[in-house]
Amino acid sequence: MTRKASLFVSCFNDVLYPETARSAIRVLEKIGVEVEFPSNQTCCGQIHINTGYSGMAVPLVRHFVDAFSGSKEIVAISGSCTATIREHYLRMAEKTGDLELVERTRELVPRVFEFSEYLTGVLGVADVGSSYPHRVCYHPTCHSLRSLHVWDSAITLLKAVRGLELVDLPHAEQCCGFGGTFSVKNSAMSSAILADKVANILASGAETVVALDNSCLSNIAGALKRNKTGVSVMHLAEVLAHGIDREEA
Amino acid sequence: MAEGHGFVESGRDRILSSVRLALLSEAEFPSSAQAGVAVPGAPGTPLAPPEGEQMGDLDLLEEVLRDYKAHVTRASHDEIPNVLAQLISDQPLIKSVVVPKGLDPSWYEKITGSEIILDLDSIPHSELAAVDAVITGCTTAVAETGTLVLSSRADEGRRAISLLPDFHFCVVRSEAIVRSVAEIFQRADASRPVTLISGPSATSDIELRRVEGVHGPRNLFVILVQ
Amino acid sequence: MSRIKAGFSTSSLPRIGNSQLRANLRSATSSIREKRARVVGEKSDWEELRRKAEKIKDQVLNNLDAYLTELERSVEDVGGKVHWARDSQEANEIILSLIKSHGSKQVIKVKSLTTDEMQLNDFLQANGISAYETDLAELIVQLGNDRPSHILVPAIHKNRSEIRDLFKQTIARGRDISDDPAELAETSRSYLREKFLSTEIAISGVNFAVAETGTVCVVESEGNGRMCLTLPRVLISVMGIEKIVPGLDDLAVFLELLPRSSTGERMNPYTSLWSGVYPGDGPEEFHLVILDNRRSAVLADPIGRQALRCIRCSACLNVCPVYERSGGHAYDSVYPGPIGAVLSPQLFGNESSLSLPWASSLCGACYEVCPVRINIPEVLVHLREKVIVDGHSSLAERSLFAALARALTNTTAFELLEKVMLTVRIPINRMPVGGSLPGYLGKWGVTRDLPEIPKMTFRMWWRHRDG
Repeated sequence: MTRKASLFVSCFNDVLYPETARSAIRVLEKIGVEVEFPSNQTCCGQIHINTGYSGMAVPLVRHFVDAFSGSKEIVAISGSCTATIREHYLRMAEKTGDLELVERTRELVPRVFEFSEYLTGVLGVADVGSSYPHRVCYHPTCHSLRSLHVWDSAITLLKAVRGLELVDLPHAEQCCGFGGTFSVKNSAMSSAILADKVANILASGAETVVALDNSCLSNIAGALKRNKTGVSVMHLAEVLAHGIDREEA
Repeated sequence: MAEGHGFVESGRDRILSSVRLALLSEAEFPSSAQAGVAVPGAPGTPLAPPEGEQMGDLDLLEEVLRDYKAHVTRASHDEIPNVLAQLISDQPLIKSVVVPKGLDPSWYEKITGSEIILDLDSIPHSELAAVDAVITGCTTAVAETGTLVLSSRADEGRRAISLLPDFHFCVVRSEAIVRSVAEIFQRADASRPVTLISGPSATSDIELRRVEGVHGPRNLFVILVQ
Repeated sequence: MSRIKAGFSTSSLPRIGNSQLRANLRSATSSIREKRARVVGEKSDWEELRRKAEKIKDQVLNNLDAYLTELERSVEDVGGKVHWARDSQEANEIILSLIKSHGSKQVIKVKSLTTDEMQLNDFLQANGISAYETDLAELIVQLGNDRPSHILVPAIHKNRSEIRDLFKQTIARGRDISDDPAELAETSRSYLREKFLSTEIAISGVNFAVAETGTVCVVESEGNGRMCLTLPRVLISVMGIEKIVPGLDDLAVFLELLPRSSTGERMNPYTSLWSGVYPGDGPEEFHLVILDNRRSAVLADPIGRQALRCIRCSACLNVCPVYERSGGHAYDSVYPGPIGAVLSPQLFGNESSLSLPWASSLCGACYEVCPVRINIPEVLVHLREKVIVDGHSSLAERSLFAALARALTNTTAFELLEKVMLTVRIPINRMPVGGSLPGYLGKWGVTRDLPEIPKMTFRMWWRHRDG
């Protein structure tokens, strides 16, 4: 029986990084997972919740639960969206006093997985047959590191990529300074933190920075581009999709 | 408001009633703060196997004491008088030594060249401050943290005598040693004043770098008795 | 203009550019981070200890009224006198009248954040009493008419040569001294020795108070604490209502967690415990002042109350990317850093409470190291929500978020929004980079390029592929 997974793309990726979602599909299909895209999905509500507009985000929780009610396994390509669902959804559902919503949320949350976590933890896959012959460093985003604890899964997957040289990123565990609206509300502070992240990336000698969240990557890329460093950024899914379609000899 | 009733509630009662009120309001929020929150481990923290797991308590205590700049000497019970006499005569700065009244007198009878002052709880602080050294026993010692526990017992004396002199010689019997901080209060009676001493006085207040020696004894000598 | 925009983002601004401050802080916090990680790594049961500590503190907070009365009884049973203060003013008055009743003109002090919170020193000074700080860092702050900038190391913003210069002008009385930390420590030793021996009254804070036995505990390094707690005739200790632990075994859990989290030591050099008055050893009079100062109000908030578990170790400051760049003064409170950002707004409710909840990227490093597992990001988000519910965000921001939320709950509206974005993608992608753009885009653009909007959204592509 084919395994089925529903992809949660997230609003940010839908508009700005569709390539990441397409890559995730290629990787999942390559290893035999049938991917669905429940088309009612929009946004997990993270921006609202983290900025303090939690009340406005309650309908978004309901919308998410409705959109994915028919899905068995949900794969998200954003670490911070996954963390938002795990950390806030049940509490927010409880606040509505709607017991049916609480029950449906309670039942749904454990079925949401971050992409790399789904591959290694749920499917037990380490090598998806990709090749990416470049020097790469891995930036463990705060949510993936400290909320989801998926440091190992990304490293395992990257190490299996043919030709990829994984180099150490100094002070990797430190925040990139993004933090959603933090990046504009405390923009000078955010930029100061980002400047150190960029310096560490340059010190690592990597050609590409890989992470599990395009929101952090857009922050990092913004500064890498502005400073004409020539270093690129890539979501893990895109690295894994690289060279994946070449048939093995 | 309360004054209007000719009755003034005390600060005590007002604090207690506002605490009770706060705890009542919790009933309106059945979901605990932890609900739905993922449990963090400690990634990024190198969780090495605990050091000294194989090491005995006595060896571990010695290693940890040395790490925090205490001087450690091993001795058998019979060697205590000679070891103390030698250690003290090695320190030309020590001209006087205060001892608590319950300390075994044989321990300091071999000391020459320094005046021995027996503390009968009556020496004024200003005079104690002029004494160079103190010898005490200890109630218990914690191997994992290199902590000596004094509790104002007869062989330890009142707190001031192990505080004002600049040299502290502390005799630790191996049977007094425990493994971890969790065991301290099985040995020490907290109805007495209890002082935990881990190495000589130190500060990290300048650039967060540890410097030994501020107000307490700047030199800590530990005699481990097997 | 939103009121939230001011506050922390403004007060941190000049400090972000202060390279001396940054260098002092970075070097100090990175060395303490490494030390902490090493000694925490030695305890294989660290996580278990954290969970135990969390449980003990919650047990106390959930039954705080009972523990407070138990503590009162046990302290009085061993010869101490308990005083209750609803706020700083009451606590300061109690202390002043105790000092006056002994006819004293001066007191020595052990570092205490609670008395800093009460602004006790200023109050005493205004009433003709000199209060001498005896902790090295507090002394540095006091001599320089400065303000503390770190919970554990109040003078962390000053490096050794700045401290040398300060000492030369003050307690060294013109004597030439080097910037060797050992010599600086020696200078404070000789200055304070006479004060320890001659002062009648000492004032301390409290790290832990044991309800069952009436035992009070002060944790320190230098020995100034032992001096203050042992030598004077009268001892006055001040504690917030949340500083209680039930029994001595519970205390032991915190004595394992605090030094490793705080200074990165297996154990701090000195920990003093005393139960009331002990004949022949130490002070003849002991007063315990129990302070509320809005802590009971914090207790009423089921999410915010976890901040009352704090044992003031400062591990969260040392790992915080924001604190490392702003320093403590930008928080405008005696409680700086991540814990300050959740504690100060709840305790003081002043102007800076409106901006402090946003002084974080929510990176979670603070929660990870917290020995009592305070979920600081969770409380920050909760406090943000409170500020917004209270109507303190700008109309423009509120409208933007409301419109966005409406669009995002309606898939058709969301798709329409996407289409609008695609039609303007070419001018947006060609927009000049830099900070000249309006609003949030400009804030972003000062240091960062914008991501380019692609030709097609994912869902368009999916439909195309499906069809």
